[in-house]
Amino acid sequence: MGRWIAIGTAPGWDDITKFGAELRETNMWRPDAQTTVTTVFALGDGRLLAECHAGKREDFEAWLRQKGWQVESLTPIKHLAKTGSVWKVT
Amino acid sequence: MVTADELRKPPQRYYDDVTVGQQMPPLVLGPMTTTHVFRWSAAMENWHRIHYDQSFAVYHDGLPTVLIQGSWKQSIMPRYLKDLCLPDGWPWKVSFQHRAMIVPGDTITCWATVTGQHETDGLGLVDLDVGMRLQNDVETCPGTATIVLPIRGGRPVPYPFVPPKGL
Repeated sequence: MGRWIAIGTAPGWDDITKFGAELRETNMWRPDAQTTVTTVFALGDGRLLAECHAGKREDFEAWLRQKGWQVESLTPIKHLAKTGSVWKVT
Repeated sequence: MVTADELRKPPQRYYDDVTVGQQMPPLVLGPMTTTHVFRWSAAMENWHRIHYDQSFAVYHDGLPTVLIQGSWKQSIMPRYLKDLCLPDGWPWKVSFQHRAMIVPGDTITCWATVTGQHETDGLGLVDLDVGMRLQNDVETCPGTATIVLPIRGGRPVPYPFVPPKGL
């Protein structure tokens, strides 16, 4: 499994109602058994940040396309720290 | 409001009422939440972190998020079969596979279809295909079961149930 961060924009996602409608249901963030969009941030400058783990990068790209994202960057994650827990990701 | 007594003593389903191919009433549960998962972990004293520590589940085990426990599914299926038999039948046996993960947000439909029926020793044995299907039609727990239903005018199903000899 690989993990990536995408940064980009998508129309209307700065509105919490639209944001929720795009992400709340399980099949919205788990489009298939191998692909999970684990976190999405809507940033104050209008950009979005999404984290995904998937079998291959193309699966994440397909989700981004299906959601109407204009992607600025899509980058693999190496490791991360989350409230004191440090995880080597790749 | 349904009373506890009404839950325990629904109208009896009789062997005479079922036919091969019949779909039994489903049981729908969910959407599941992390609270359901944690409550089951506490009840079972199952402290594996994949059931309550989302970071561990995602970043250590590579899971989508925390997982619904297999033991929860193993409790729900017999509950469903028991409910099909109440008050005087018996969910005799069930066998199923764990084929797909269930995560918070999922809604589960327990289902059963009659595949066979036979009278043995005055008892009505009903064979079923069973499963637990997710909202996206993924089948997580396909299997088979046999329940025992009373026959109208026949003898009561023994409690506790003793399988007829030779079965």
